[in-house]
Amino acid sequence: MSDLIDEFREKIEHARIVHSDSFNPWYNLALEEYLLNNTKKNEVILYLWQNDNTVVIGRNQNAWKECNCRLLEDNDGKLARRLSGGGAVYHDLGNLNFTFIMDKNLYDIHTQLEVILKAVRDSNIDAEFSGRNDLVASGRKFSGNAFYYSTNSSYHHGTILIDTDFKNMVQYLQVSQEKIQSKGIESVKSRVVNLKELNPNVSVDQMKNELEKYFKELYQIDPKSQIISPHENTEIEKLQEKYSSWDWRYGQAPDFDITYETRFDWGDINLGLSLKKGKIQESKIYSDAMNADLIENIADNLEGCQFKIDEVKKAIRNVKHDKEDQEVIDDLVNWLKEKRI
Amino acid sequence: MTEKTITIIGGGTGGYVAAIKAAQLGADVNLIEKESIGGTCLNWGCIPTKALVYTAEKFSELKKARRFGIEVDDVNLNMKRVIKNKDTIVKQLVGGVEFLLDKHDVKVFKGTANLVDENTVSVQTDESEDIIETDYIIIATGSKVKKAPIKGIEMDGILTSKDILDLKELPESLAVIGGGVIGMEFAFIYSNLGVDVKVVEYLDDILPGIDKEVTNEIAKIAKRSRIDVTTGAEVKEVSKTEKGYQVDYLKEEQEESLEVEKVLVATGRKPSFGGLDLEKIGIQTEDNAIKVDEYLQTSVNNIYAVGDVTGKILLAHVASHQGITAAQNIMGEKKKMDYKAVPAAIFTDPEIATVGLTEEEVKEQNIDYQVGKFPFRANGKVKTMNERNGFIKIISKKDSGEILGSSIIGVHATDLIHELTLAVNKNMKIEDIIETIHAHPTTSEVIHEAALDSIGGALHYVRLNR
Repeated sequence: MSDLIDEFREKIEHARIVHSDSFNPWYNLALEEYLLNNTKKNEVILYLWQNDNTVVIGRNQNAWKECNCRLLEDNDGKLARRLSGGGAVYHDLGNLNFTFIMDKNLYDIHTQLEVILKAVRDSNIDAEFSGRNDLVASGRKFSGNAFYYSTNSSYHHGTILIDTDFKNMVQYLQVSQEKIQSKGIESVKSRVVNLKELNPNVSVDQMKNELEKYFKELYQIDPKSQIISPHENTEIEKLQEKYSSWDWRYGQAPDFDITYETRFDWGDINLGLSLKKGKIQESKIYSDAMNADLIENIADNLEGCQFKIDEVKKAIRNVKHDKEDQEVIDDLVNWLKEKRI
Repeated sequence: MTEKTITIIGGGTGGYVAAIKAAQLGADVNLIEKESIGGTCLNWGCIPTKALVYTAEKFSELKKARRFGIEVDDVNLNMKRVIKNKDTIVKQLVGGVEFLLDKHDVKVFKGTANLVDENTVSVQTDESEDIIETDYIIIATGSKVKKAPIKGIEMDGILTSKDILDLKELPESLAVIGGGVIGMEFAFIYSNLGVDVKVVEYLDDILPGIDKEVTNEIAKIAKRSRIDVTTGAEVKEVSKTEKGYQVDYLKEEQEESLEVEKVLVATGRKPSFGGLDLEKIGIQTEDNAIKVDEYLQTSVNNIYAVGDVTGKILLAHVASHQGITAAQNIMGEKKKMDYKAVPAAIFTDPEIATVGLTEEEVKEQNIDYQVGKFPFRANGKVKTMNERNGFIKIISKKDSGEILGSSIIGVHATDLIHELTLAVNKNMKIEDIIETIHAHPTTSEVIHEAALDSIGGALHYVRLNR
């Protein structure tokens, strides 16, 4: 292994350490992609960043399923989707994110992990790599990692839990109660630990310094660290637009089917929706209590509608109906309002 | 210029060959495999069955060793070791391919691939998901066992061609449903291992698509080897009995049945998409296979498909040739895939090998043809091996002598077919073979003799009915 490391140490021609001074996940992910897209030949970059009150879902995940987005957004949190795969994670200012971005020839998982492990071990915490994408200490996970391979460059990024609010983590990452069928990947629950719990002297700033130190040491490079702030660069702004858009965050979910069921005073209802790119492609309603025309009209109106509560409400309210069916319409709208749409 | 990135889904013969070729041509290659590198061919098909074929042949030869002047007492079979030997061979070959991929800097991902969009592939394992951006994709997801819709066929204990490879105890008797290539190979393997084998085929002939004279010959040989072959028989139901299974079938409107200890289902294979959502990306299919043009390009420009998933000819060597061709096309060469001269190799005992058109096919196409034939028993080398079964047949155009096809049944037939494959592929003539000196004493002399027989007569054989 050391031969391999020597071999690519010699290859390194450029190195950077980049910090973001924003806590906005959409900006931070935009900066990450910008760095990835503009990696020079034989360049390696360490990028350190933090998001506040954020849920980041994997590339192939379904936001409605993996995150209690309604609650998150009500609490001024942000939902973001990253480029890499894997499960949903919660970020706050007690968590530090790192990204190794490099020319794909310089990708070396062992060295990258070694930087993190050495930085953590310096605080007398017995950290180790477990399986493929977790770092653990005393049997509990403090870092989740994900990998992304672009055509010329790659990145390896991950979280480091230092002092994150687990109560928030648990409530925002609660999986949807509805029946959802989809091809996307599901998040896996892990037992987690904050590094501060293992050593009270650990802090975000101290960890940043450690990471920089071992990045320089292991790659044998000495770049200055640099801050890239919002509004410095139009390419990043363009990317930020993508990351903040509904289409990327919600609409990119793999096709899925969702079923809602309940019982009203007037009878049972089963609403089945097939979603494609965040739009209702097909809707099926089963109810013995409603009249067939009304069922058909609601189903028709829902098809083609974006899966946003305001749009869904509008579609149902706009259904032509008799006076005596008003109660049904109201009940449906009030019921769906409570859902994660 | 930046390198082209090619991501190949499926590490079987089509996929891994495409990966190596593409890497040799300068591409940056990712290969995704969810089970074992080498795919069906290396792990559960060609290679392990040939390991068993070899054991079975040696076992059966040892029992006949006396006529070579070798006295052998007590020839016994240890099936556990037979399977272990097969597993070792497979492991070595898979390891060899993994080594080659590594040396060509092919990045191998173990997991299940999904198409995110036409330039993005995700690889999922139980614990993680990698996302790969790519310029090109080659789909090489292979094929899977096709089970005929027969009542009881899904029962536990009914063997597929994959299950039977790990059978560590020989049954007393075996019913093989399906007399195609897979079915007949296993029939001869198990018969040579001393099992009482019964084959039930739906069509009127075993080995459909093979020259009729050849299938008649192998049917005769099967009978002499005490393999019980029933053709034109529709299996209706398989049911469990005290000692094994009962297979009920309909032949000439008569209900008949046979009882055996084990049942092998060998009713063919069909393309497998490996769970890929083709529709989402707009990849068109046709007859449950991915539609490709002669350059192996799918309906999506940057996506190619090779191997069994294209449903052309489900053979490993077709898959690997398609893999080479797709890699070349992506890397800027323009190579068409041509299926005119695809050899087929069937490892019955004796072997069968064919290339090009059969006599039935030339008749159908109203081609004025001639046949050159030569029996294996008239060849000196064959004699020394104490063999006598089989013959070679070469079909050529009557006017020009252009070679259109050939069928060979006989000892090591599969090693002989390539001279004729070259001839068919390059439109060579009977004269070309006649003018080529063939070494003596070798079995390849049968090719020379059959060519001679086409126009004037073989030297070492006289057709009594001519």
